[in-house]
Amino acid sequence: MVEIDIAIIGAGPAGLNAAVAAADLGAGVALIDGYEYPGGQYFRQFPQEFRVSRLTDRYKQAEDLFAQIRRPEITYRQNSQVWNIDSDLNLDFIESSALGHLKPKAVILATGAYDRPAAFPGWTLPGVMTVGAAQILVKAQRVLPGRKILIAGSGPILLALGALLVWAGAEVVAVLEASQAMKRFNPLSVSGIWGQSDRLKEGWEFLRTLRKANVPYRQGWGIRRALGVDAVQGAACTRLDQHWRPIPGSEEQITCDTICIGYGFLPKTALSCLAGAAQIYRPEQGGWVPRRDNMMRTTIPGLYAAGDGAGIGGAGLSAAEGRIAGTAAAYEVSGKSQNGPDLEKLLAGLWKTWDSEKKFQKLFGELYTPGPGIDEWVDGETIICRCERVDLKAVDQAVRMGASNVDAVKGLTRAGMGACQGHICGRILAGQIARLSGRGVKEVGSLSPRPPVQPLSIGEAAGS
Amino acid sequence: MATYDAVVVGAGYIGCAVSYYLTKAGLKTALIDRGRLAAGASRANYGNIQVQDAELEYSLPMILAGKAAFETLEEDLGYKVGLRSIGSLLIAESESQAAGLQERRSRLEEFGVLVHWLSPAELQRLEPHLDAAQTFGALYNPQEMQLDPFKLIWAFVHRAQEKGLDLQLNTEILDFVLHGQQVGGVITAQGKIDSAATILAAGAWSAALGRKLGLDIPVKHVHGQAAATDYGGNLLNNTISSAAFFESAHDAAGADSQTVLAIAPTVHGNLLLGEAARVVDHFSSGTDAGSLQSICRTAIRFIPELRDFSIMRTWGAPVAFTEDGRPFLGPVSGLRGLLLAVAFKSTVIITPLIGRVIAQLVTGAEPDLDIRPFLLSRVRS
Amino acid sequence: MRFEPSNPNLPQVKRGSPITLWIDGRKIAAFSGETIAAVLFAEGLRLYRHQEGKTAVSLGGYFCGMGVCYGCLVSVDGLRRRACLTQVKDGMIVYTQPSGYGGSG
Repeated sequence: MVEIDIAIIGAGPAGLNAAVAAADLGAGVALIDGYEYPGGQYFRQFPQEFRVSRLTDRYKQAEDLFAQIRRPEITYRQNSQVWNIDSDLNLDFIESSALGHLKPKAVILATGAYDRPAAFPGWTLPGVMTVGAAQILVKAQRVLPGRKILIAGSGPILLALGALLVWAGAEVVAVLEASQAMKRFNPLSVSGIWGQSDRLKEGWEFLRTLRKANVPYRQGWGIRRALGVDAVQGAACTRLDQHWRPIPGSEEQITCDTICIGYGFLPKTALSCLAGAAQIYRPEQGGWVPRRDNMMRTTIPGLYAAGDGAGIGGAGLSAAEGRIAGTAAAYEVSGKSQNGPDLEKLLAGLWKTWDSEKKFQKLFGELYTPGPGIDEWVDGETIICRCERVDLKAVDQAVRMGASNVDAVKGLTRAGMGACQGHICGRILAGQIARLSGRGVKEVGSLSPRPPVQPLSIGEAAGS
Repeated sequence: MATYDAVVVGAGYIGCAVSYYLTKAGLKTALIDRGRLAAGASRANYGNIQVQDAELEYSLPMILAGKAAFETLEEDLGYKVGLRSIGSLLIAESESQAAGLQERRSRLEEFGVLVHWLSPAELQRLEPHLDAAQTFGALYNPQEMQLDPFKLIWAFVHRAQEKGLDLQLNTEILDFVLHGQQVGGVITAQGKIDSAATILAAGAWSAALGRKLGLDIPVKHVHGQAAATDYGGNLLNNTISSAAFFESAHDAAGADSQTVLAIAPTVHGNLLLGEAARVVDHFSSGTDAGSLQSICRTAIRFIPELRDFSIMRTWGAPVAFTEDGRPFLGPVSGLRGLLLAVAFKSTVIITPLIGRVIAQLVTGAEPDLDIRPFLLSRVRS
Repeated sequence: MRFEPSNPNLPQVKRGSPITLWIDGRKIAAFSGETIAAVLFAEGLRLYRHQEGKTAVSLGGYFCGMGVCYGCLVSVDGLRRRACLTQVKDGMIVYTQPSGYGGSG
């Protein structure tokens, strides 16, 4: 039974790399992940019961990493959900219906991210789903989400999904990119593009696939409303200005039965908030993220955060941050100084990669961070909190009653109190409150998480 | 440097209600809290308006008067605070508790409160999903009420703000302004607040604040923990709590977490589960797995079907209590300009009444309540 | 709808062994390794009414696909589970509508 020095939460690119880096330096690591298989979203695997004819490059990369965590220093716990953490690094988790507890010397949060939705009339109709949700169905399950598919959002992932659906034999009616930044983009003039030739190549290939399949790719377009009674039957789309505001008179109707939306990603920061780590507002990284230094340390001693879960930046950045955090944390738990030349030498190479990936992160942010107009696609009946069925009218009423921050509106409307614990509605709610009260999104704050960070079965919590 | 008629310390149920009635009476009022609105015990409250579990000796008349004030509250405030009728059940978990409840029933009847004794079989019929075999019977009051705590607090504050309330949240009280034996306001990090009257409504924090005045306010607190479930099933028609609550009564000697059954269905359709309580001297809003496990075990013991439901949220808060179970309300002999309003047990139900009473004490009007049983002087040697 | 890719960009996949499960009282053929959500899509079922609250109005169902939104909750052998994360098993009993729950009405 290996002694746990470091607990790493999340087994995606950041967590896997952190585990390997820490184990390389002799630390005892618990790699705790809530899913059935490791890899997170980026390295999402096929179910074990499926037989795949060949592995793609990404799967091969994933397999390498999975092999590296099979070693005695690393205890990999799957289906293990951490539901509580405090500033002393007491961790509570639930695994196979049993409650568990850990108090390691250091914790690395590598919790990852999820697709950022936007609210618009009809977004709760069956048939509306996130880009990631569609990818999972097609890639990992070989099931089509629908027959006539509209893709709307921002970022290269739209192209990736579009191409994927074309390869799968679905009809993609259009890809609507909200951002117009790429129209003016000159790749040769931007430093963030160095070292990203693979990504660029991939992007061009997706675009070519769409062109060959006659799939319209429109930049500066967005979805205005989803149409249908019991399910999606069509969509109304509009041109957007550079601030993502709908341009009046430009509405067009598109027939479709499925709408895949994705406006970037949001980091899962609930555990860092629960632990008391100071948060800073970085809209280009997904909003509120834990403040960190160049060793991925948060403001809570012994608590590190790496990867998309601490600020959206992509798989390359996640891997680099994971290695930095794993290395630094291993030093901390072994009692070695984090201020000396030894650690600096170890980190020097990683920091170079980190810097280059951060340039790409910055570029990505400049191109695709949603404009303020994203909060103006709603009407009074639009559902803001899906779990509790709270519409914009109720939010408006609360703001008129003087509630000017997210927690206060939550108390009055129950928005954010549902099963998703505010993951889906949190940013939307903040945007609406800001808009209705005339304040900045940063000013209105965000939902304060309470344990458990995801619902816990009472039977399991009773520990029978 | 601001001058007020009244400064209220503590923005929980009591502080917010007091602020409302003070501003309603035309007084220039400031409301100060070290945290956000209802940051302490009020945030953890179920919103139950219960009569039958009242401290019988002195508090019951206060509670009955408090309940009467609720008849017109929503109208007065111009706000819906989710007020609704719901019955309450006090469960006996032993023969001695059953006997105690029977006695409580006769005492309540003397005060004109009619409650019913139910055998386990009768309890089972009333609550089909409750495992009545775990009980020795229950006291049933079909006439209790419930509201949404957050809405009530918000309504008080918002209406008070409309009348000019100066709300200062996230503001710590550093000290009090003292002119000899006259309390003249408070000192915060933002500066001095001069005030003719200072009202201390800081719940569990009142003891520490009192010490700044050289005052011993013997308020202790438990760290109470509770949880909210997801929806479904209409598993409970009434609120239930255990008569074991009277026995544990926050026994100062007991350091272990005790879970006393307290389950309330909310108007939203989910259940509030509680409550684990430990006497502590630290202040925390955290929860721990052990207490959660204890709460869940207790809940499943009484409502087995809860096993398949989920905990959505847990919270903890310091809940103030006093040795004799009575609050400290009213002036303090030897110190002018200070009024106490702390450590109420059945808080929700008396908020409008206490708000009114404090406003009356400040303006010199005759209070609607005989406050003599609640003065601090009863415990001072 | 299940599909077999003919495009070389997508690797061929052989699904797991055939199983049967019950969905809303109907016997459905599926494959080991599939998630309940995938099977529901394959059967053309996208509307989940299970979520109860103040108003018993239907919600979309599958939305985030990765267990974050809890929109895809279904009853699995009497317990609430996320369809997107739960793999089907032989003999499983699934209800997408709340009246199908055992015990909670």
